[in-house]
Amino acid sequence: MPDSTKRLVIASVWAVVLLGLPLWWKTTAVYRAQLPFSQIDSWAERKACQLSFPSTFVIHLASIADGEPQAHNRPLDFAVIQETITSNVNNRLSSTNARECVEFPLHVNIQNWPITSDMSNLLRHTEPSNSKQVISKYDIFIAPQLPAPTTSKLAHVQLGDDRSIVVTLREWTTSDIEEASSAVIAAIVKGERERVRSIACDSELTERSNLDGARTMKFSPTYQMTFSLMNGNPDSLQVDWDIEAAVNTYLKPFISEVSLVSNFTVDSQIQHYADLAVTPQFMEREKLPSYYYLTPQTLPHFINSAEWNLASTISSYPTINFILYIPAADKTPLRIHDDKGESVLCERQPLRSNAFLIPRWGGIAIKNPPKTASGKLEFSKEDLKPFMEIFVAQLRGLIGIHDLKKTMSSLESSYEISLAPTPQTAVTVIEMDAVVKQRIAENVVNSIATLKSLAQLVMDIPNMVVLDHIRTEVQLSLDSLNQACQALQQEDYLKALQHSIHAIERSEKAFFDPTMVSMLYFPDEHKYAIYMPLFVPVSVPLIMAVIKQLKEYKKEKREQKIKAE
Amino acid sequence: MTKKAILIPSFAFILRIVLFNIPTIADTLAARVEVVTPITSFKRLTEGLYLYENSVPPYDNGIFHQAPFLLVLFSALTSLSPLAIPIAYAAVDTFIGYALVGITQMKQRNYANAPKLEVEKAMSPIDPWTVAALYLFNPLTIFSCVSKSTLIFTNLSVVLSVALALKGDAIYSMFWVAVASYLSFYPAMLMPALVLIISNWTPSNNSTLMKQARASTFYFVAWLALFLVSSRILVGSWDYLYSTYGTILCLTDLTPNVGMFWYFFIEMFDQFRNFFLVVFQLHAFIFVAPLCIKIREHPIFVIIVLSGIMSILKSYPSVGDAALFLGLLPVHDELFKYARYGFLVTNLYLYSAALAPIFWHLWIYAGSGNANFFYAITLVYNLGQVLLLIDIVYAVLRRSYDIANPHTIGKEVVHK
Repeated sequence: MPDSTKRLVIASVWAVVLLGLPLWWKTTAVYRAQLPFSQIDSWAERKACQLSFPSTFVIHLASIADGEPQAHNRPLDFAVIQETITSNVNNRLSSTNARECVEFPLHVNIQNWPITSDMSNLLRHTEPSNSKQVISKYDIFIAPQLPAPTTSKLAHVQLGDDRSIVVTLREWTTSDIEEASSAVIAAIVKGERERVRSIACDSELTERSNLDGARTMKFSPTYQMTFSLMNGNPDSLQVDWDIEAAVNTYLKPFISEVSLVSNFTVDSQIQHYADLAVTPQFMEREKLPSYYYLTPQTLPHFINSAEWNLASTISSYPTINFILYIPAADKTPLRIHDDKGESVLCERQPLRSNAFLIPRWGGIAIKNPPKTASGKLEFSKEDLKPFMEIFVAQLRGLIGIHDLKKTMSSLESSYEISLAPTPQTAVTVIEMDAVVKQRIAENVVNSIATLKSLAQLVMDIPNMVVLDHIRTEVQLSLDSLNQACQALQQEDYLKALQHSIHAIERSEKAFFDPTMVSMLYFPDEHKYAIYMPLFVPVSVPLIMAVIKQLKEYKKEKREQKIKAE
Repeated sequence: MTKKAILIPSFAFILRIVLFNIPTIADTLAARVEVVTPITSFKRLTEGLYLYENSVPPYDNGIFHQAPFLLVLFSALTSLSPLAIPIAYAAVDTFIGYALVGITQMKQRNYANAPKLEVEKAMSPIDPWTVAALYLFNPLTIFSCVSKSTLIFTNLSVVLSVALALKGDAIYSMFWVAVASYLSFYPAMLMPALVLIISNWTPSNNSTLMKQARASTFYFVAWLALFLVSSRILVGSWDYLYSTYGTILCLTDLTPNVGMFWYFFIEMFDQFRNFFLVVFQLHAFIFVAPLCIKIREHPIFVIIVLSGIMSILKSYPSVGDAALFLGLLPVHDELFKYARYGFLVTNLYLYSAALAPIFWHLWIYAGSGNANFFYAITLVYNLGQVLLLIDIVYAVLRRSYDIANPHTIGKEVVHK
């Protein structure tokens, strides 16, 4: 009787333990939502969708009703010209890189352009080929230079502030038409093609070595821009500025133009007692006023990050800083020396702008207070204009806008170039198009890289829990990538930009999800450390009890057998 | 009616009413983590009550985790008079004392013919009113009552179910144990022991036991289903299940208490939280079957041990649980002569009673201690309770052995 009680007790404890086993299995099961690894891989290998950045040029060839230019020649064969231009441009830009991971299809259309003989201002005559301006769709208007040609140059190229270019040729021949249009087209697309290709095809390493990529801020849909007025020594000089009006007047148009790609929040501050972290050197000059100067080597240490409170807690967006520095009276005037002319010491000259840019961080301008200034110095909107111009130029560099002037300068040997006056927005439409393309390429490449690392992480850590919402984000990101790629092929850059932004945001959301931290998951060996303190004390008496009972049972059996015999 | 039967309860009642009317004591107790837990706090109940009376779903606030019937009860009590609640608490506690008297009397009568030791035949058993007095004047009982912890209704239900089981009333015994389970979940583990009491188990009547077990299980499930469904009708949705039992089972509220759960699950790796929740909760229930099998001759004793286990291993224990355990303990007064650790256990209780508030103060207010201080004291407190449990289980086993083998009395028995 007591034996059966004992066995019942042991059995009842074991029953609960056995009941716990499936619960153990259930509660420690690692939930892993199936991620679309093959899709991610095919994107990473650039097989999923061919990235292509098409551009269309509509060439409008003048045909004057009076018939004069046409009399020079027989009617032009549009189809032949079209083909020649396309192949010319492609020849000029043919890349040495055999492995093409991006395509740049070029569409050239040729149209008749009926104009009157009055061509005093051709730019005013031009009318875009379609009323709605489309990114990467340009119009080139070609006409003979009617008042007798004055220069020896092949043609005169005028760039408008929209997507139209007017070319006036000295000689109205087919070969010149072809030559001029292919040169112009090549000049416009060359820079952006190279940059997009380097973003899309080159590994990160080469991209970093590229100065251009190092200067540009990492893409973010929103940046925080902080204008700081740093006063070296407020004891002798009080400063104030009307930054709000200056920003509204000089910066707003630019920001609203760029808002297509990124938004900006703007704030400002004035800091006093902003000491320099570096000691400027002193330059004594005969007959000329002496000055203090900073060499390019010391500039990286200009920011006194220990004492200048530039880190913002307002938002988590990447911050672009612009600093207007007023040096203390004992360091005035403060100038910046250029690298040029280092070999001959005396030739070194201070920079005229007295400003410099710190890549991926912001820009700094130094303003030396006038000698006579004492007590209070106030910057009005107009006073700030030169500095705002510097800041806007720096901002262009920071967000990756490339100067069209520089791009076109390659043509200067054989063409006369005139650019439309820089618009108030400080960025032309053609420059903006290039930025949009770069950003699309960057977003697509970065989101692919993020997804790839996520897949890598999940595969490396078999214990990692992958929740359903991670899969959803990854899937949405892949969908957005796909849509962006489709939109690119259809030459719809605005849509592609939107989708590429969604793709990068979603892939980063999945990657930076709090449940996806690899530190949360430990290797299997660590699990023993967690289970041991529980299972060893529990299982030893349980197993011992069972063994003891089995022994007794055998003994009983044997005794019964002996008794029976 | 003896003098004791009037004096003890009336004095206990008046003492409680007086304490209720000293706001510093009543308010302090109502805020002590040792006395009230998230699932018994009167403060949280008033929050739920306010929402309930304003037709807002009372469980939406995430603070209130108590059973819907309490809302109805307190809604009625508050509408009577502001005095109604203290009087109700004092009366319920006093009534538990009466029920303990009943339990002791019936135990002594029902088990009068059970085998006894020689020395016990000459001794008279404990006076039932002593049992009541030990419960009613236990400081832990008084603290728990004056803190208006709603645990008192669970304790009342448990005591009533035991009393009715001793009377042999299966339906109402099951009713009260169902109420206790409905209010705080864990008392469901008392059900098998109550079946043993009702069927008045002896080795000869195994068939009655099975019949009684089937019937009682049916009553228990039926009552419980009735409570759950009527609660659903009362509050208008099933959400209350998650808010009450979900909180008890999943430990969503990690407010410190005198139990073992809170610290452990604050420190637990998220990945293993569910697994250890299952382990801890199963641990509380693992003792039911072995105890009911091994000590089936003393089902009341099984109830006592299980209430002790509940006060150690439930997810939100408080001193009110210990009060029930300590209140039921004297019913089996014949075991006291076997107890070995009386002095140690008493000291552990006193030690933790003195140090728990001090360490809490050091941790929360002074900031010169940390959570480990308070947790260490709860470990000491639970160590005391575990020792007490071990001691009385040893006592009951040794006593049974001594009755069966009178020649071994006073000798060491070596268990192989």
